[in-house]
Amino acid sequence: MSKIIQYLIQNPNLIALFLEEKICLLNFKEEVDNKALYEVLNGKIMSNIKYWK
Amino acid sequence: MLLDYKVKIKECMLQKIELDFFQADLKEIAIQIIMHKNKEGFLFGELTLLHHEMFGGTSVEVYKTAAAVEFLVLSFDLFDDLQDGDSFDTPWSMLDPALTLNLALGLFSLSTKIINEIQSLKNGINYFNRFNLKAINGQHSDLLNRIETEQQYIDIAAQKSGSLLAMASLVGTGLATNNYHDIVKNYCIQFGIAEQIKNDLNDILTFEKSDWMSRKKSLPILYLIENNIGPAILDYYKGQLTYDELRMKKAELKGILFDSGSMMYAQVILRKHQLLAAEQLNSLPFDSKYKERISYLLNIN
Repeated sequence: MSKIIQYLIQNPNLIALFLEEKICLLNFKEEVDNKALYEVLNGKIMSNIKYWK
Repeated sequence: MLLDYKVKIKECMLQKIELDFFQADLKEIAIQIIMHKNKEGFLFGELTLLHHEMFGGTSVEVYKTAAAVEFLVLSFDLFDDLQDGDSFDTPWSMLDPALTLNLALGLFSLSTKIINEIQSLKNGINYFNRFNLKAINGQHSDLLNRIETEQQYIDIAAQKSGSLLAMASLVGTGLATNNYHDIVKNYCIQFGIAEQIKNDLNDILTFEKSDWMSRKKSLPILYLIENNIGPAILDYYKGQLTYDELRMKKAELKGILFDSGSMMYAQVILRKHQLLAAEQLNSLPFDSKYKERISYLLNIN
């Protein structure tokens, strides 16, 4: 997972395509990995995380 | 049931303190702690009650059981704060550490005394003991700070955090059915992992917290190490920079954590375990009011 996220960070155009469901980006073993990634990239998860102090 | 559960758990805990903590100062601080917890809510005790009722339980000893669970978790909170030394806003943070240690021992002993008095619990006592021991093993691994991989981190989070949630819930189902319910254990473990990740993410965003001082390897740090990103942080984790030297570079750290993808990565793992927990919980064939309340308590929407 760590390597996949790093790859996405280096290729942000792939994030947009993934979110638009124009590409099936990942070859995860479990569907839940894709769902979690999709939700985080859509900004659904950050609300519980505090800001830097 | 849910409206007055807090009052009943609190009253039961206060009664037990009155009975067994006869040293005046010990009793006073224990009462303060219970009132402090009452403001937060009794998450673990409520999980015991909910699982007992959801599985058809009608035991009159359920509040006593929930009180025992809360005393155990409270004792672990005190031990954990003593070990981390970074709690400043609790009733026990003002105490001499020797007194906090004694208080924690008292709460731990009281929890086991109460649980052993509950005749109808039977197998539930085994779940209580088995999962609190798992949590202690997980805490030990966490303190040793020898994590090198994502899987090691997840395993320790499952033991340290998931086991206590599993204990609270399985004691409730055990009181209701006298049986072990693997699916309950599974969603509690998944949620415990998610909560541990969330706590660690919040801690890593506060530079003064002990996670930075103790060079704790949480998921964002493991990501940086694996991808060889952020020389200041990598040097610090190799022991080539001191904490004070890293403090001089504090302004860089936020950029490293967020721009590298390390925080995003940790959040994906967090969300994955929340989704796994929700899937397991929703597969149970019970009234949705229980599942909705458990989802709310465990924050697994």
